[in-house]
Amino acid sequence: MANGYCVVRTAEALLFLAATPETVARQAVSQDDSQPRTPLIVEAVEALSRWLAEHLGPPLHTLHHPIDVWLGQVPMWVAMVCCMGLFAAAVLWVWTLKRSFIFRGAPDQAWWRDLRIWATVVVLPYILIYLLLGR
Amino acid sequence: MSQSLASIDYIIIAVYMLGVLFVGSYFSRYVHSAGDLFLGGRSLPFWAIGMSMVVSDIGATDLINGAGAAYDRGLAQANFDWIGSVPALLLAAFLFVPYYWRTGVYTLPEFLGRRYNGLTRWSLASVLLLFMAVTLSILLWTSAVFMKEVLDMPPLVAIWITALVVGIYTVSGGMAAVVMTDVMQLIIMFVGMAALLVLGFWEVGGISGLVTDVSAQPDTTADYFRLLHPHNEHTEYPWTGMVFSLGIVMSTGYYVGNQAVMQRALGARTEWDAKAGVLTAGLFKMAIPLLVFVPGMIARAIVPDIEPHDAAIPALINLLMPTGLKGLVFAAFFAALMSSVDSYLNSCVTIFTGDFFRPIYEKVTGRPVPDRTGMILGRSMTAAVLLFAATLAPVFSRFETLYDVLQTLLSLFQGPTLAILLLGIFWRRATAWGGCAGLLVGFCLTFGLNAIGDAVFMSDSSYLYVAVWSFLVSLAVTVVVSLMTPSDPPEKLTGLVYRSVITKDAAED
Repeated sequence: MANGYCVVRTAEALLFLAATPETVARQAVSQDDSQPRTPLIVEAVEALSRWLAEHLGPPLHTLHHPIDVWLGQVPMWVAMVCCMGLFAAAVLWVWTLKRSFIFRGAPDQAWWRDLRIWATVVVLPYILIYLLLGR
Repeated sequence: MSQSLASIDYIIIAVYMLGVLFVGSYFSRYVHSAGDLFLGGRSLPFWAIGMSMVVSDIGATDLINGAGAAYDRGLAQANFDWIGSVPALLLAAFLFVPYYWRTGVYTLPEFLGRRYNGLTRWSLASVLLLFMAVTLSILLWTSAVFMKEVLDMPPLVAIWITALVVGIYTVSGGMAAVVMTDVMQLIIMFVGMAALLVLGFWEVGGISGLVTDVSAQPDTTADYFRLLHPHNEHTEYPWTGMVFSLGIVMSTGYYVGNQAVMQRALGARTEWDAKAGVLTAGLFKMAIPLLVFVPGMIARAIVPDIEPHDAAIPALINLLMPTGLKGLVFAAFFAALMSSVDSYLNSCVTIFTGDFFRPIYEKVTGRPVPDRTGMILGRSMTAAVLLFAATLAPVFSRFETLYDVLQTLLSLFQGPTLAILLLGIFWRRATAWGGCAGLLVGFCLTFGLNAIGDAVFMSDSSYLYVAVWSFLVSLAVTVVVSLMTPSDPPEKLTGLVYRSVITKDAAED
């Protein structure tokens, strides 16, 4: 429940300023969890998290589990195709944009100010990296 | 660690701190209005925007926690800066930045307020304020931990010193000071970390030595040197989460929905500089895994039993860096810390002033906020937010993993914000109440799923799935509610939806 823990602790942190100076001092210098906690509202958040986990966790897990099983069977070459496809689609989309849109605000229309070329130069090394190290 | 620093190292750190203060304060002479304070007078060149975006994004948490995660999980950690950045940066550069730019807004909630309604604007502004205030406190606490290690300084003293140094140049110089000190900090960070990388590779015998040494360790899997891992319960970063969640939803939501990142582009001198700046950031991002995560992996080859793993980089520095270079690497750490603190501070105040104070002032007085008032308020608020964050920072001594806290906070707004932004730009039929409902339901869903995520999703990194589901649900809710409510008048949508912007460009061809 790392994330549940984070939500609760974040709420606790935000309530910090409402705590007494003594609590503030204790919390600042101590790692001891046996010290009294701040506040009721933190307990309320913890209780809500527990309630959600008990009542919604199992049915949502039942719904999500088949998706996990199906994705677990997808071969890794599909992962590579999806990854390459994402980079390639981004660059191809940029090349469909109008020239006036690309150069808008540029002081001139020199070829090196063409941001479609910039985008291609930026993405190509990433495609190579994933081809080499992806799988 | 502090005992291993020599006088020259302390001198380098001190010179760096004074240099940042000088450069930052120098820009105060150019601040004459709220626009100068928050958007650098819309005069920023593309190279400064790109460098500032990268260094604001890469904080000390990445240098410590990110490298620690690479030590533990291997090359897959690089996905956060590679596939988790580049496609999103392209989308940001060519789709979102031009829209924000042309509407002349100060903040992202302001853009959504124009497209949807005030409730949408204030809801997102509140969540962003919460996120940035907590992030600021976490960054200050990280700074305290680091300074205790390096200089043996008490945490509270370290927090207030960092707050003071950053506060002075951020309050006086505003966005221009933040961006220009960021440029300086990026150079120092890259030089310092590159030195560590070179010495690390020298020690392990290059890439082949690294692979041999790490592969020989009994608990290393074959996936340690691979970017994409299978979708099963034995991996923290399954490829599905990396490609679909991180690569599409989380990264796009992060770059286009995070004020601290996007504010630099809004301060560009031209629309071309704004787009080029974002692309420049994409180029610099390529180096981050090499400079930050690979040293974490090298630490595993040299010291296989570091506990906790987050100590990987400090341990490597102690082992490999000679006197003088050690001071430079520590300066690089301070650079990463301070560049993130100043960026979040400036953006936090921009949102407070732009999305809360300005609309209320205009409603009450019936006239716009005078420039001088906006500037004085902005500076006062910068100091107040810094005081708040510094006071809150010690609380984070109680947290186990700050990286998870940050990811959880990020997931609160990434999915829902991206969903209503996309529909707002591409679908004229999206209505004010549709967008508002999509955003609020998305927030509630992310809160609930974050609380129970580990019970529902297979991977331990459940935020990867929370972001995708909150995006899809927000999308669906916005569509359904929009279809049930009356359309917005066409004049409200001019300059805000895709077709109206493209038509404008076509007319100029």
